[in-house]
Amino acid sequence: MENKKFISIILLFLTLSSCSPYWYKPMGFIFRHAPKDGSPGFRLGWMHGCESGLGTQFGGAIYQSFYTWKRDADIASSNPDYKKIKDRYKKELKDVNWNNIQDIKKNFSDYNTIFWGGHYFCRQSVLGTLQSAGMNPALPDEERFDPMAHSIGNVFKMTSKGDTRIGTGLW
Amino acid sequence: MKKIIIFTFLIISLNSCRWIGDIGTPFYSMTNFKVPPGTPSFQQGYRDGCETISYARGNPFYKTRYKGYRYDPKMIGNSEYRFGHSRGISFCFNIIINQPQSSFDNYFNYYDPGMMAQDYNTVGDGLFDGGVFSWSAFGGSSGGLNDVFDVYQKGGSGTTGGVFDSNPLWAGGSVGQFFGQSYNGSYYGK
Repeated sequence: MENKKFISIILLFLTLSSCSPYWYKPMGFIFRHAPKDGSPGFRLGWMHGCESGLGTQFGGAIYQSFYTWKRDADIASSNPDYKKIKDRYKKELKDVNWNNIQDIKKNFSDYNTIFWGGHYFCRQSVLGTLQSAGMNPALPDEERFDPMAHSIGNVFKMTSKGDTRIGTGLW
Repeated sequence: MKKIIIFTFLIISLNSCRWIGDIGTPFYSMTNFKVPPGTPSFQQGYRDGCETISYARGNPFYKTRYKGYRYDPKMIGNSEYRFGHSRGISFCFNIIINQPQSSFDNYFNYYDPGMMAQDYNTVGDGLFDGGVFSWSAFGGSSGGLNDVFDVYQKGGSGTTGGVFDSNPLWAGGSVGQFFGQSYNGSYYGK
């Protein structure tokens, strides 16, 4: 009984102290790569870009069920509705000075610029990771999810792209 | 029992936060990249871009060698930095997807996903005979591209004889030759 409590506390601690807000999603750790000293708009743009990148077909059906296109159309708009955006991201953009148009524009510009940086990095990361497990993304004429080819157990497969062991020189 | 749990807990915690990985950057030979000459901003951008893609698409060697996404938010308005960043990504992407730091016997077991680098008669289903360029792929018979050219040798009926003595597709006369080109032929001094 005492051990159960002990284990529960540890599990709770591990859960709460997780370093990524997306810890419960596949490859959630990747969001820890978001640069920390950027503007709020920069950080939000990177996170949205990364989510969008992980939700592309490069990630396959599993990733696509956890992530999707996330770019905010209002921030990307040429004539953004500031109040609407401010209300939508109360927490994420709380440090933006909404009385200063220059600051708002700077944050929106950062968002739109870094969005594709985050998108590219996370898309490539998920592709590289899956390839190392022998799970190549489905081509347009193939099934999006093949239980044989995309088994979760493939993470234990070592004989795919990037394998550095001797005698596996196919890559 | 408690000691084991505490020990396990410590290992999981330390690993999950990557404290160990962040202590220092391990060095593996031949995993460095050369930064081309340019202004400091360009070089910084190039280095950051190259690290970014080396982590994303590299094998475990590179994933431990480089820490991950690199971009200096303060430089977001600097066009030289951004140019360098994009060039670093582009250049290193082409290096890293070939996994230069792979198993050392990489080249003994030659494999190229681009079929043309191999013997186009034997790879997969063969390039022409049932392969991607087979005539059957275009709704023709199952004889591959060979059949398309066969008519020049054998005539329309397949028996009457055509304008050539041999199938022009295999003008060299042996397997592995394509319009006279030969992989193993005298052109290569073999």
